[in-house]
Amino acid sequence: MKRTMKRIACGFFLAAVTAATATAADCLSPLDMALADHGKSLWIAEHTGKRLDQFDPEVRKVVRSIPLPDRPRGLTCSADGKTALVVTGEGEGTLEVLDLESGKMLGKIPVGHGPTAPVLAPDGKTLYVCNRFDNTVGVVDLASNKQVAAVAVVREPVAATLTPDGSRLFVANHLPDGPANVDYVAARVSVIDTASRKVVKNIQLVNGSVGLRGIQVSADGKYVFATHLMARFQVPTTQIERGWISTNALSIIRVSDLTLLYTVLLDDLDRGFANPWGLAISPDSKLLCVSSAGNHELSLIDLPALTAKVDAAVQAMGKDADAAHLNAHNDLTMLIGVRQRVALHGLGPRTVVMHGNRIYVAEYFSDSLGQVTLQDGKVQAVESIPLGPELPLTPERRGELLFNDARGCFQNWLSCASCHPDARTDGLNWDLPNDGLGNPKNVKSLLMAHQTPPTTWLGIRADAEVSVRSGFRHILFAVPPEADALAVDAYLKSLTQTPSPWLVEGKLSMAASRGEKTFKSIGCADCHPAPLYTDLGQYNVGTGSGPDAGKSFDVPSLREGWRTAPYLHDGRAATIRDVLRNKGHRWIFNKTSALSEKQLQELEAFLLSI
Amino acid sequence: MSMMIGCLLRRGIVGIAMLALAGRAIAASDGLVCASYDGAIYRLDDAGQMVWEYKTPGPQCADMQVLGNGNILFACTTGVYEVTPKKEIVFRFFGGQKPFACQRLADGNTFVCESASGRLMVVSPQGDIVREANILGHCPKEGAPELYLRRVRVLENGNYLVAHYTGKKVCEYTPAGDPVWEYPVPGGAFAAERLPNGNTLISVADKDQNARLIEVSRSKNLVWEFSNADIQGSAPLCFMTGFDLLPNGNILAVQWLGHGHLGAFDSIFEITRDKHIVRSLRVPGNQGTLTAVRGLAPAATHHPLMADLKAAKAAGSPNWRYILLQLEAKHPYASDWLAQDADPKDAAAWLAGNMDVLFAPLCHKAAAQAGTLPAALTSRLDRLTATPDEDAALVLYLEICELRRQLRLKPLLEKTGAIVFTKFNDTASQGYSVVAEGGKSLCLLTMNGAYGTVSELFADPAGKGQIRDPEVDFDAKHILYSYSPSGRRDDFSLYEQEVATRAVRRITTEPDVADIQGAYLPDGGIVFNSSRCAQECDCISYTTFNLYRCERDGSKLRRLGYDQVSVCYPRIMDDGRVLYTRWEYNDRGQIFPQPLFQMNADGTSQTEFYGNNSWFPTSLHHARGIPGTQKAVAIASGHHTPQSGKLAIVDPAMGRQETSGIELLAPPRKPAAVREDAWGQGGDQFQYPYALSETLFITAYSPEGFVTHELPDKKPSRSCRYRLYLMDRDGRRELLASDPLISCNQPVPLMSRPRPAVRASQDDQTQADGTFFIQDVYAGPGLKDVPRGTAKTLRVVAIEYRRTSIGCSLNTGDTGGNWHVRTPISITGSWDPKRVLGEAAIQADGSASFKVPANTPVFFQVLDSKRQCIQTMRSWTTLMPGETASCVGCHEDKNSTPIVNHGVTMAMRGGVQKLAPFDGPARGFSFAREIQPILDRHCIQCHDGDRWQATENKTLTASILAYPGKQTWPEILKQNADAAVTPKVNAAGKAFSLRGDLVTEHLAARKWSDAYVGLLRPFLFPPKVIRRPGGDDHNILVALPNTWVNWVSPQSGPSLLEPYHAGSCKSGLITLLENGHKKTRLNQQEMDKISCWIDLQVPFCGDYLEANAWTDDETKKWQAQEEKARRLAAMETQ
Repeated sequence: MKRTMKRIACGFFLAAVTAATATAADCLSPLDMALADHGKSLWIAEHTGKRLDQFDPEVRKVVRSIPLPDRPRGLTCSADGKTALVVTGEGEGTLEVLDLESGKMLGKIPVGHGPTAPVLAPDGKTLYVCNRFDNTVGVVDLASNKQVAAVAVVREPVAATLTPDGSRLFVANHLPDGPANVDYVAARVSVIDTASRKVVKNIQLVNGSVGLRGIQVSADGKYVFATHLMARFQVPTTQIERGWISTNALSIIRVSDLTLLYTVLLDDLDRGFANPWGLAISPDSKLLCVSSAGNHELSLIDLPALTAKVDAAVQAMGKDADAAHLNAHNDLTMLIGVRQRVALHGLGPRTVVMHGNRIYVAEYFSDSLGQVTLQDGKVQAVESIPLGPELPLTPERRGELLFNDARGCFQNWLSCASCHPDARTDGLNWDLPNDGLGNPKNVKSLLMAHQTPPTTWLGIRADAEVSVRSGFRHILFAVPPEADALAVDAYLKSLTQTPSPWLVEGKLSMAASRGEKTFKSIGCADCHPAPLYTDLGQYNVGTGSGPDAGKSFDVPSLREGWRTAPYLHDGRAATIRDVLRNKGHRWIFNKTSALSEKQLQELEAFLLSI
Repeated sequence: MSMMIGCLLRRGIVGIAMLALAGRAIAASDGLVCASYDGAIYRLDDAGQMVWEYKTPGPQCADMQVLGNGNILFACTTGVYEVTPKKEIVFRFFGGQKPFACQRLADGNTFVCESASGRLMVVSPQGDIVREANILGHCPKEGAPELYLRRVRVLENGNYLVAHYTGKKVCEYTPAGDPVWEYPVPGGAFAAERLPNGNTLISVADKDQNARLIEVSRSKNLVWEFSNADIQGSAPLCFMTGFDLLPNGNILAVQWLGHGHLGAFDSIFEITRDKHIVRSLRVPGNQGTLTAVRGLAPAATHHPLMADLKAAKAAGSPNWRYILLQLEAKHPYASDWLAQDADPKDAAAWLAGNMDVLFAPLCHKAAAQAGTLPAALTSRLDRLTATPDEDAALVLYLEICELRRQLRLKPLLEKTGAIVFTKFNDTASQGYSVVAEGGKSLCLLTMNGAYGTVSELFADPAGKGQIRDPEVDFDAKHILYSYSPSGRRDDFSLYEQEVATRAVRRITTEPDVADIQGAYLPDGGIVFNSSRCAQECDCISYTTFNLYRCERDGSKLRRLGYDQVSVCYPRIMDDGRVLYTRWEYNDRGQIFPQPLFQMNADGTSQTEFYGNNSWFPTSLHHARGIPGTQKAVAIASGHHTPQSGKLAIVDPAMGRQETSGIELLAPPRKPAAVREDAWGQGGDQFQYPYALSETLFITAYSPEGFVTHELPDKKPSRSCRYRLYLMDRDGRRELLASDPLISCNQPVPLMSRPRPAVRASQDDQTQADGTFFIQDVYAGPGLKDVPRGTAKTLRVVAIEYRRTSIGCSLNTGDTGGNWHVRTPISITGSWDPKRVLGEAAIQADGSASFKVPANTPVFFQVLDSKRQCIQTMRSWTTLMPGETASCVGCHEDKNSTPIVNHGVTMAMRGGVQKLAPFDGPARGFSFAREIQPILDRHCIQCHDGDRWQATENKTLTASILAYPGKQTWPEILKQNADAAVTPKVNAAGKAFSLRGDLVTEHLAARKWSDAYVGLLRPFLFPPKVIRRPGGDDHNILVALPNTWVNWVSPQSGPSLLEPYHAGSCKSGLITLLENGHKKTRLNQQEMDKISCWIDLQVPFCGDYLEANAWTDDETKKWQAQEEKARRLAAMETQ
């Protein structure tokens, strides 16, 4: 009753959305935002709501909604605020060009696979888009309405930022590439020279840096900031205190020489800042704001104070100055005194936008807009403004929230999604105590985990239900109610496969079709039969070593294998090709050693298309 | 609340008049508030004068409650309202029908009852119905529906206590509306309240023409009654309605004089429990239609203060502080205001006759802290001249202080109006043994507005028991405490009282053990401190305390800590960690390291929280987490002192050693890092703080600190009496409770707080081992500048603790604390026997991973390729069964994460090691068993001469006793080395004896061998320290590290030692043997053992029984303790 009245008072007017039983599709899931009209309008891309909402900060409500043909994944507005450029599509993507005045679609431009983070060049003529699963950055010419180039970056570009002069595009690669059974595994930031459309540098982040989500250049164009996790995969996951499993970080890159200056932890000594996502920088470059998707909060960082602190640390190091930079990412107290944590009232913060004394944050899971009002640098008010009706959460949606939620984790260090971004894999090897210490294993995607028991590489857990509960207990160090575990089960069971970027119009390419025949003929399908592409068995394939020597490994499903690199239980194979050529896996090698290069290519094309 | 002031000014006179009139005590109060069915609420002062009147929005005001914020909640026909003293309505709820009862609940919600509909509703502050029950079906359908129900109360257990008027009964219903208790009231029940003793007090209307108050027990016995029959010669009671229990135990009751008696009688009575009316009033202008009443709490009893001050001045009292202490009993609040506001110099000047200096400036000082003053006060303040009428100035000052008090208390009262505490003189010192005087009662301070009343929740019926350590459960429904009916220090058990019913339950039951300092855990269990470990402290015969946990019913009791000396005061942080003080001196001096430690609720992750390598603070006591932060509030204190000192905030994020993370409060200041045993004992004193926030605390505090009294027998006694205060970080304070005879201590607000999330337990009782993982031993300052590749193995050593104290030796060293070691097992060496469990290989990258037995205190030594100790831990850590504990390196900064640049560790790739044995199974290192055979093989052929004869060395003794004075410790060591020259070959041509022949040192109650004293070369330290059966020695053997055997001193300082500080690497004996002494060649195994002996701090005994020279009684005493320990350990259940 009261809630309804409050909603009316807030001016919520979208009477069209009156679903009594809510599904994920009924939720709005605000994801990306863009300011227009000098801050008079805030456009919000509602991911599952499939629409663009115009939020009027004056009246504090959504004043207009424009339906979209598909789920928006990213948004930007033209400088004059008249046009919105929205990327949509879970598979092959589209750039929708919308006239904001009329709400009419001006154009639909095919872009790459899983497009996200559209960035408009200063001249307004060129748009860059991260084609996440193509591992490219698309260059779209808005005059000809065509993606005119695709610049290959490292792996899963998810965010990009352009220097004010438009010369350099910094691209956040979500995940590291390469094998995982090595000492140094870290994602990279690709730098594209926009004139030549070439990557001029891939800046390697600090060891363990994965899960990049946000990247932003300062207004003066001097520094680029990126948010990511810092996995401590070098040590076993025996405890979670002191950032023992995963920490959360901000990396600072100097634009002038494309150098990683330092990486600083966003966590506190005894409290994590789980899953940093969006970031925004004030026009005067004095305040940096990061959202924690796991803890539902913001960090407000005083940049000059942070710089002074880092400089002081460098000074104190004297001749070992570089070590200060290297050690900041191991120091859980680096942000003491220069950062303020602000608890949001909404859930699942994503994109952050700053305007004047306001900070707006898209609150994905609560279908709301977080609004933080500052006065003289201090937080005056924190509000969560509903963008739609409050819907009861379905088990799947609640499970998704819990999967991403670090509140249940001891000291809030991480959530399930920290190592399983989008419920898939972070690509890293972790030494979990479940199968003893001294035998790190590569993180598995959770797609179809419930259909393919047992779970874990050694089949330690009978099924995914057990694994979900074990994950809560042994990774989050939490004792959740069974209802929470059931909800996470429901969410994971509801995962759907993302179409492979290797498919051609949704079908196997000719080469892949030939590869499928080889797959069957040489006996791969014996252990990896369709449709699950696993026989649910366990075999000693000769890859075990150390404590795992001679042990049988669970046969992994090959579905969505195109996005689960690296491969094999210890992530030793960076690519499918490496798997096919891996002598350690004697069963595969026996089958593939006699194949021709062409056959291998075809087989690889098939495996990447499943 | 401004009306309180006006009332205050009249109260003194009126109170005395009433007292004289009645001849019995009436409640000292601020008057009363009552509600009228005519639709009005009145406030009367004690004389019955109307001081405030309010017409309710609708008629038939049937219920009323005065709230802690001074507002009034009431029910009338148009709804339930909350109105401020300024008559602004700040809350209204109307459920559709007129309400007859209302009650503000502890959680901020409001209870509302409708008679005609039978609806019992709990309403949120926003007006939403939170829960609802309907008991219409239980209302006999007679009379008008609106007469079915009258007063209803929500009990603390959530049930409803309902007065059925036409139903002629009082019933208790569950929250769902099911009846669970019923008592017939033929006269028609109007109101019913559940008393603290569990009985029910009922007011009876006029249906049987016998209006009265009755008290009924749970078992439905009528235990008390007051009616017209108790009042000789008159029959004023017609229709009893509302009542209130006054702090003095009397009952304030009102009645309704309808049905033919309007205006005929008084309508307000104060009735004593022995059935006398001590006050009888009527509301001016009201015919007697009252339905509800509330007595107002006593305000500060500080008027008339000036007369007392002047009397003291006239008596020539020269000491202002003394005067205030004298006035405290009579004027507790005012004397405290004066104590904190008045500059002692100004006060002295006033006492000396300078009228101008004190009260007018005080007014301005208080005004500056009192927020916005009412115009009238501002105007009076403005009119104060430089030489004011000091009486008027004092009155003004006190009035301003009243306002300031309200302002300061507001944040407390917004959270809670109740504080649990003990009347308890905590005199426990560094020993942490159960040392207390007092501990007489568990008390509850209930705030009613700005002042509170104290009631006893529990007191020992026989008067000799002790009560201590209250803690409130997260939901504030239970209070945990420790109680010793006998008052003996070894006889405490945990008890729990249910707040709603006062029902007491005993949790632990074992006799002859002290279970103290219990705290509720997030998982529903209890962590507590206990003497069940059956150990005694190394340095004196103190019982030691270790942490245990059990379930709420006392089951599944098991030990968590395996700690050398005592731990103290476990409290639960916001994230569920257990924070406690741990006193330790493994291989180092006993005075300084009393740091804060932390563990999880299952005993895992036992690690430093603050200051384990610090000289300062000397001790940290009574630490509690500060809500919403990772900081703690604690008492910074000394060592040979009581557990009292200065209020401090501990912030590990700012650093974990010395002063880096310490801020002292009240006033805020950064302390100097000093090395002082009895630190913090001068001036004001704190104990047991409870943080409401980073800036506001409830604390036991003594402004004057320790004072020396002269006892009746003329012996001086130094003591410190604590009161309870609300205090901010600047030290601005308000007195909450005091007792002139005993400390009010250990305050814990009775309020719910978020229950921390349960951390999944890593404890697996099916396992016997735990696992350590070390990322890189070279990380951290422990191995600073040691080249990579130097560290080869980790020696894992367990410490054995003593059961009891037999015999005495003396440890001295560079921390300057010459102190006993009881049941000594070495001469000025290791405090405790050391069990070498084995060794783990350190991988080339510095990593190591290995299993150790669980529930065993262990420490590590890093050995080099010569198997000499590079660094030793001088602390210990304990794993729970199945636990895997990880650390980065040796003494690394605990504020750092694992190092990412290190790469995947070889230890991780290689799996977990089992410890490699140290020449056989794990065993206590015994000089006789490990070293003597080597000496027998290689040495005694020549070393068969005279036993080393210790002699007095007065110069050295004087130097040690003067230390730290003229000489540095290295200079003293040199003095020792110069004196301890190699004994000469005897007449038979034999070098000094290295035989295993034993000779008793009486005071130590040990037999040391020739070889042992020959290598350590002790001297006789003269002071007679302690008696033993059979006489007392005048000397104690003391040995200092010398050039041949150079061990880490048992009195080494807390700061981290540099690598290769001392030990086998610095011992001439090792070099001698390596080079081949007289062609003697020892094999590696033999060399290892000698190095190990030196690096373990030259222990002689491998266990406490070895080579003892105990009397039969002493042996029996030890065996009895062993048996007790075995019995108690066997009681631990899974």
